[in-house]
Amino acid sequence: MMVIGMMPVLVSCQKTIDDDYGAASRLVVEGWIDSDGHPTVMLTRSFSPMNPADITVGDLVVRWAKVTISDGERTATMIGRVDRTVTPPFVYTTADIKGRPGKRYTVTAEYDGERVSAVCVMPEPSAIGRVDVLPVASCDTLREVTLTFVPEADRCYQLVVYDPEMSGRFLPCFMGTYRPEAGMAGEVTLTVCRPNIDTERDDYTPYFAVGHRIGVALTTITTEVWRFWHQYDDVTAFGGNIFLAGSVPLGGNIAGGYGVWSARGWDYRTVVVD
Amino acid sequence: MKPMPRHRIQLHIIVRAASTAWLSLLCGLTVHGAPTTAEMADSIDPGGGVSLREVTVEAQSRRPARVAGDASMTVDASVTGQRMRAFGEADAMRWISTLPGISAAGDYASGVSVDGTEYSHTYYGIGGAPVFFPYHFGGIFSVFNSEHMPVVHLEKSVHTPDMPPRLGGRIDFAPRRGLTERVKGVVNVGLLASSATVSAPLGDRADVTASARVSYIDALYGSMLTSNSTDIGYGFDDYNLTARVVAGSRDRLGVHLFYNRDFLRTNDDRYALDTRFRWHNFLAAGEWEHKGERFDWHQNVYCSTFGSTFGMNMSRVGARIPSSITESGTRGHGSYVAGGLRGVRLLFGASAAHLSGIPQWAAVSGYGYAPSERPARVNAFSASAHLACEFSIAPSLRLTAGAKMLVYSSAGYRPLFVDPTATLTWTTRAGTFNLHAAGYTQPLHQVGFSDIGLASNFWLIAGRELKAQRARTAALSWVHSPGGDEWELSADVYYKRLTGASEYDGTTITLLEPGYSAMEHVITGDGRNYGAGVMVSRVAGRLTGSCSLAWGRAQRRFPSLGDRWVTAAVEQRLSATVQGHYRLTPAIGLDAAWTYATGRPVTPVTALYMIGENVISEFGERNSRCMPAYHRLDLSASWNFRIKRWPGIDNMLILSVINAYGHSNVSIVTFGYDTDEAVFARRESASLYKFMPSLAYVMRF
Repeated sequence: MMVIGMMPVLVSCQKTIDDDYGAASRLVVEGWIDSDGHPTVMLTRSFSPMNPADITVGDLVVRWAKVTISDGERTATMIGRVDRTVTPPFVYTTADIKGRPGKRYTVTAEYDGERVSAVCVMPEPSAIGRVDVLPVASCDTLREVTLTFVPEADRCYQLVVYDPEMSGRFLPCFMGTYRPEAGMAGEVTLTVCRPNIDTERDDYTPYFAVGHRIGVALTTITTEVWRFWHQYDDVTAFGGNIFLAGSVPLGGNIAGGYGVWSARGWDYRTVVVD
Repeated sequence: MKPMPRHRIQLHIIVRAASTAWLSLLCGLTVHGAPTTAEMADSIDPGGGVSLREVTVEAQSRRPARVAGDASMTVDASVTGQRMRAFGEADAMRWISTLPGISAAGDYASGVSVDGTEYSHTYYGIGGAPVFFPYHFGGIFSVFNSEHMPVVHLEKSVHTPDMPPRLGGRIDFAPRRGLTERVKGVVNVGLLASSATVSAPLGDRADVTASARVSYIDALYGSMLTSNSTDIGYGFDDYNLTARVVAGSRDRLGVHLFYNRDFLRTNDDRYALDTRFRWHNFLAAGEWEHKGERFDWHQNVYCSTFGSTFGMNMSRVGARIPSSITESGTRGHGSYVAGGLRGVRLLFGASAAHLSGIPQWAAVSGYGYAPSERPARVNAFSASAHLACEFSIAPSLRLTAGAKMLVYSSAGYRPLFVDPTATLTWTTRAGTFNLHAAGYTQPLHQVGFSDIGLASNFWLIAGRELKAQRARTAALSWVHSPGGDEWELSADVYYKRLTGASEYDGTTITLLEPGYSAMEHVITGDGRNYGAGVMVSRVAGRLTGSCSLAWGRAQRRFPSLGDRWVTAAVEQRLSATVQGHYRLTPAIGLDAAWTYATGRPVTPVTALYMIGENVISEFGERNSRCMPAYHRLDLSASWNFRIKRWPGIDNMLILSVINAYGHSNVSIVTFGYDTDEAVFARRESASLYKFMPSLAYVMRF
């Protein structure tokens, strides 16, 4: 009886996932600047997993922050604007700074007493060799897209794709990170998988629908940024699988917050999926 | 219709009868305890007594388990198989996992943790030879055929000196001891699988038993195995063959062959991900047993292998990740009764084993990488010897003290381990107390990215980079049978310190990285487990059953992750089981079992945010929270009957309902985005067992 009486005490010592962790909301940065491109920052807030059904994407947007970018010589303030083609529908941009390989870009965001910052050096871009559109077995309405290029040793890559049917921005491809094996030489062909995003209604397919005009970009990224997106690939590929799901944080390079700031060497092709 | 005969238990007694009166009594047992077999010596003791070499008494019992004075337990899998079935399959492991101190991380777990140790610390054996992976997929049931191997011996933290090189519990499966006297068989037809076991005598001194079990899960349960967007297909089979020979009055020989294979595929529409698992165990073992008047010896020789291949395919990218482990060896242990005033008994043994394994590696295709080369096979050799002395230090107090020495060699790693062992046994009217302190060494590690012990977790052989694991254990156990053996009470307290405990810090995608090396993702550290368990059982009467309660902590500390102790993934803080069996009539039995356990430890999601239009989770302290509490009620009814047209055949129908009140036991929680409501969403995957009825038919002849 004494043991049974102690049960509630013994149980109460252990907290479950339904007990609020009490983690404070933090600023989240998803930003990039591409070679010959202008910077873009999407600034949002993290939120508690306790009551996710009470929260919409719009609730996450930070609209009145002071966001600046510096290339070491000049500092520019980025202007926030609504962009309903992307999720969350608000971006900070500036035309005052243009991406140049080898430069070190520092982004800072300040809002309501919080300050986050990140630094990233832009690697040299690698050129796309070719982009091929291939048929998909037993499906007339979908096409597989591949990208061929010659990777440089010690570089890290990420494929991103623009499909106006999905989003108004380039999104990371599903399993889109790539790092060449040490010592390998010659060209490599990678599958350009459609981005796998939570905000899409339809079931995921890695193939592109016939008739779409898409943009395919090969980006060169730093090792630190590659690690973030590589782990992101793990989340998008295996995060929903009950037997493989892991619990490794993405990391990132945002001091004081979550997310990632990328300076990307950039090469780009427009492809008609036909 | 007549009820089918009760199941038998067999008692093996080496008796030195002091007078012919004892002989008469034993002969009486032989006559009245039918069916019986007896082998008796006719030697006459010079002092006037009669020496009985071996008497086998087959009695009948409905008792599922017996706790011995040394705190070990013997489970009768035939009896437990009549009481608790999942999908119509009898499985002793299912019953064992309800015992205090024995836990599994939910319904999908493919292993058991004994007193807070890792799954790989638990030793599983057939006839004293190791079996590496004990479960068919997802802990639905074990690979051990209950009809073929109905005698299950279980040790938790108190071990005899011949404990194989593992840090945790010991679970040994064996056939019944008595030889088959006529052709007998059991056919089990369940909803997931069917099996057949046939035994036949080979002359007067030998028999052979063969079993086979095949599944047809996909055909009947395919739709139920679908979770969210994951479509699961699965199949398995297992085979056993045992041949035994009684060679003279003191010696027995046995041969065991065992093979099982499993195949699992998952197709995830959402992630365009197909995974394939294949794994198998194979064991070939021979054993020799000698039981003399003073000297007993058991020797075996074996080869046991486990192999798994985990494959993934995503669009044009594919990966095949195999691993394997093989252990070949021989192990002998025995005892010699020296006698004397203190009743001295020597326990001794020796073993030698060759370990050979291929660490997990990845052959990745379509990712721009050159073909990977299979890594070199890792070989190791170990030899051990133990010696202990058991003697009385007072009329009710016996001490067993000794040591075990293990010599190990693998690629320049040549340690010598010495593990002392001591057990003090105090027998009183209030029961038997055992105080046990010992060290244990395990040169094998098992790691992987599955917290629930899937077959994709792979074995690694200790070497210079990854040292052997060790444990120091202190345990106190108590066993008491008050009320004329109507009740059985047991309790235990344990404390373990582990060194060299290993975990895997990679993720699934790690496997696709160029130059992937499993060893680079293994972290090692210390561990400590402590806890207590208590069980009260009523073992006689029409209403029998048990109540058990266990509380335990299992913590690990990995220097590469910080100095803090963190909860081990295998910890089960609190568990309770109440089970009852009511014999309504001699032919009908009713069973109920309620299980409660605190949820498995998980690393909690502390924050969510959006990146790349996906919901990303941020995690808190490792394993610092647990899933919601797990509980369920299982009900079962069994009916034994005979059909006139089938004389000599006993039939049994077993209707079982797993999780009768349909509680949704959450296995995993993920977060995503609800595109219909345009809000974020929490997604829960519940256990496989949600009001899961099953029917089994068993035919014995």
